[in-house]
Amino acid sequence: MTMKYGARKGKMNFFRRWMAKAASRELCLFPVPGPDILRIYQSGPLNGEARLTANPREANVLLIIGDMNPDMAEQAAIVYAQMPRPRMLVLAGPKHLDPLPHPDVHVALEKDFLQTALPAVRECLSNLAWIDEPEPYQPEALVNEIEEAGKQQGHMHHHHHHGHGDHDHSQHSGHGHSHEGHDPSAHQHGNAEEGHDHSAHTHSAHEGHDHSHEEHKNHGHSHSGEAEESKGCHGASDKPGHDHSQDTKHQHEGHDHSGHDHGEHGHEGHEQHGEHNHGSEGHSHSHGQQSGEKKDSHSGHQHGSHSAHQKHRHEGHGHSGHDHGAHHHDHGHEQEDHEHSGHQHGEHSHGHEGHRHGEHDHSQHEEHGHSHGGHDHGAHQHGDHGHGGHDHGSGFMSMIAMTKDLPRSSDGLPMEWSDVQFGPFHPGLPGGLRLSMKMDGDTVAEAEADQELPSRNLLASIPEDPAALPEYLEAINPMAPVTYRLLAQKALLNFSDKAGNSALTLSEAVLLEKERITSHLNWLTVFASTLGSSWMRDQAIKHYHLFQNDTGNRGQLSGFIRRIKKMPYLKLKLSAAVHNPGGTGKHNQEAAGTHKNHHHEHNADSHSGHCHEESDEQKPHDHGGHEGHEHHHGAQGHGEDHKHHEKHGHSHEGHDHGGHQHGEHDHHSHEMHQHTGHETHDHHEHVHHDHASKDEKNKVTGAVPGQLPDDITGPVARAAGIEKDHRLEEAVYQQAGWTPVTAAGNNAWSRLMVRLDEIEQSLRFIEKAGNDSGKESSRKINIPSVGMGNGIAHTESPRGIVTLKFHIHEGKLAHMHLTTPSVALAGLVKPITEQQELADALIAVNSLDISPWEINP
Amino acid sequence: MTPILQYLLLFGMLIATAGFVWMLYLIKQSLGKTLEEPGKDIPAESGNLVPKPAWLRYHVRYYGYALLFLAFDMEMAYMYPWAVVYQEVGLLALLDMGVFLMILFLGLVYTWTQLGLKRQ
Repeated sequence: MTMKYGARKGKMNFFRRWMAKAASRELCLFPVPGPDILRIYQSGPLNGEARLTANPREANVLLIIGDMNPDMAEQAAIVYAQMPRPRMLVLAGPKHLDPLPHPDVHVALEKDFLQTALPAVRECLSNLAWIDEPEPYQPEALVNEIEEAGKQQGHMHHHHHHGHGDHDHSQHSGHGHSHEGHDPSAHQHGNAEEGHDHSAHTHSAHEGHDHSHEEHKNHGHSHSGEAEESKGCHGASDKPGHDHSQDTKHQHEGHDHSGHDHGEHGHEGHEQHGEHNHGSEGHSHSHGQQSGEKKDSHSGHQHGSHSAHQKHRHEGHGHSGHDHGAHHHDHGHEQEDHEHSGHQHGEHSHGHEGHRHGEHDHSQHEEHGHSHGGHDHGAHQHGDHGHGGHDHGSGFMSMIAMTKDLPRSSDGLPMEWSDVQFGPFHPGLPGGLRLSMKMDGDTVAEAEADQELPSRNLLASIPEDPAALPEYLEAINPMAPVTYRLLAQKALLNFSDKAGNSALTLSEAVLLEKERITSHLNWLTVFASTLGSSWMRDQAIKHYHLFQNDTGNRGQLSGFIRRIKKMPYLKLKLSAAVHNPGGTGKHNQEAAGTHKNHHHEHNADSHSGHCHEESDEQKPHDHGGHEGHEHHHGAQGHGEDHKHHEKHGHSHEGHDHGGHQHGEHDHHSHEMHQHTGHETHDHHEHVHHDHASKDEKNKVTGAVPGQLPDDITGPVARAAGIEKDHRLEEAVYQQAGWTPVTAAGNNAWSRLMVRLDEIEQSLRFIEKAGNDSGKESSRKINIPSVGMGNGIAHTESPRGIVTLKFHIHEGKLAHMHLTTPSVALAGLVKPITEQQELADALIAVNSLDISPWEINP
Repeated sequence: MTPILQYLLLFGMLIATAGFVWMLYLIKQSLGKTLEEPGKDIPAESGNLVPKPAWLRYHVRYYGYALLFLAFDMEMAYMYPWAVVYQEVGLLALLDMGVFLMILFLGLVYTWTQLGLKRQ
């Protein structure tokens, strides 16, 4: 007991001793993996001997309960590193866990281990809170991880600025300028860069252009304001980066952009940029004006509204390779002085007004600057460019420019999303469960339960001796040890007793039901904390311990359950907000539909937001005829998800807006918006009606039984009205006339109700079983020492049906397979959290009662 | 209380405040030096390292409320002058304000029907 890594530096003196004593009386425990696991080893609530905290910053004791896999141990080490000194490490169970330091107090993992641990902790803390030679805790793994994180941060900052326009291109080019493969999630490209996919916009074939970035300034553009630094925050530069005003005629005469196919060029290839004479007559970068439009071959574009640009004409343009066909010339741009102030080309906007390539954000690429009007922007990902660029004369950096690459919220607003981890040590989730969420503000854009959820990592080493299987399985899942032990016994019986006498006995059934009650009550404590009801949590804890110690009476517990059911507003809250959109098959479709709704909606929005300032009509795009118009949502429709979304930066990749006729459409045209690529188009139609999606997305989806995936069992399935319960097949239950509890809500409320009713039902079952209850099963299992065969057993655990299959070869366990309900439940996390507000999403996840211990990578 | 006394009191309070702050500082000093450790500078996020700063342009889903509040709040400002003259004008003022409030209320109802009060 040296507390080398936990003590503060210094000599003990009177004052410090006094402080240390005080700290040792006010112990704040941070239980790892979580308070629900700690509760299992407690015989009563903590009565003032210590407090549990939700945050390691407030804790002075890190309490590790049981063994854990290396991944989770590393996360525990992070928690330890984040605790203020003096701090103590208590290991209950393992003697040492890398990369955590040697424990200050070690106790065996047994019932009421805190009774032994706490006095030792107090003594240690009051004596050793200050020592002469404490050492900083910096395990290699942690330091490396932090360094890596730091790098990312730097990178991120870099991009951040970059997005804002004060980015220096030389750095940028360090990125290879082809942002291909950039993972936006890691990079966090500031404001505007998310999803930069330069791969699509690659100017490699620009003949005659020297896009070498170093020569950027020789481009012949008169960038009157060097845009290298933006003043003011958020890129609001005082001077427009490129004031082409001196370049009044900014016309590229005789430019032959024949080879331009922006769709396929890489920036690397921009050589000879110098020759790209932006001063040349005739080149009018016509694109600018229209680019507001999506990307594509503008051949059919008719920008009826661009009437304000004078001189900006595409004369003499030899866009032979461009699809811009005739359209440039229609622009009738009458913009005098060609001042690109409204340009979204942050730093150098080579005259392309309004050119907003969603992905290819010129504002960030100071170097290439030209986006030659006549380019075939076919592959350009015009995120949401719009004719917003047309607000000539207003601010240099418009919000539209800054936000064009950001992911879109369901209502079409461009916002930054954040990646947030909940768990493994989150007080509002079962201990050990880790959720990765992409948050759009306070709304969950996407969440998923970590598939490499930490478990005790025992499955890796199956015992050879079949007789050891019950104990082995019992240790796997601290949340339901009895169920797992009985399961192993059943399977062994199934293997050894060919007569098929592997049915549960009454006493075993009673044990199972007892465990169901404790498990449901323990679940209720976590659920109540997430719900924010401390009354419910404290009562659940009280009843949990009362029941465990066999000291409670049924009446009290029933009274508690009745009070929960009557809690005002609870039903409304749990059934309205937290719904389950249904199961995989149908669900996906539905989700896809919803998605599309949003997307569409947002498409519409973004189109409307496209600053077609001149036109009042908000949906000027006729998407009707656009074949292959994918709208990124398409991808979703195809079952992909938001990731895709992000990567593409909401780019309308592949859009061929060939038929765009800006300014001529009416709302109805939207209905013709056919995403030809979508296969799940059924839900498509309502989408377009008056943005119906907005109304619909908050509605509770009716939960029709049968929507849940087939592998969902347990209370979650029963709460959806599916009578799936393995107990129906057990003779013991059949004799007792037992029928499963079901509800028809398929939402958090019905799951709560099912569990509460199951508690009462189990209480009745136990009562009926009378004296037989609680006795350990004493059945002798004769496992033949030689022989081979398979064993299989199913049991209805508190979370659903667990199935164990194993193969015994020559008396030794050769293979074992465990099917647990939590794996299927974890798959529901994504659908039930989508577009939910964070609190509702956490409640929804909690309502599933996923046990991370049942999930093994 | 004479003005000078009042000033003395104020001054005394300033001294006391400064003394309190200084005491806190002393306590902190007496607890010894802190050790530099990696990890302590990173926000706690249930066992994960989160290097990202939270400077995000995130979606405030209740912006609708904020805008509505602003609109109605501005209109409420008209009630102040009304309250001043209410006694003078009497019942007529009540009716006038009733009409005004009704219009506002209809606006609120309209917002409601358009689902403007829902979380966006």
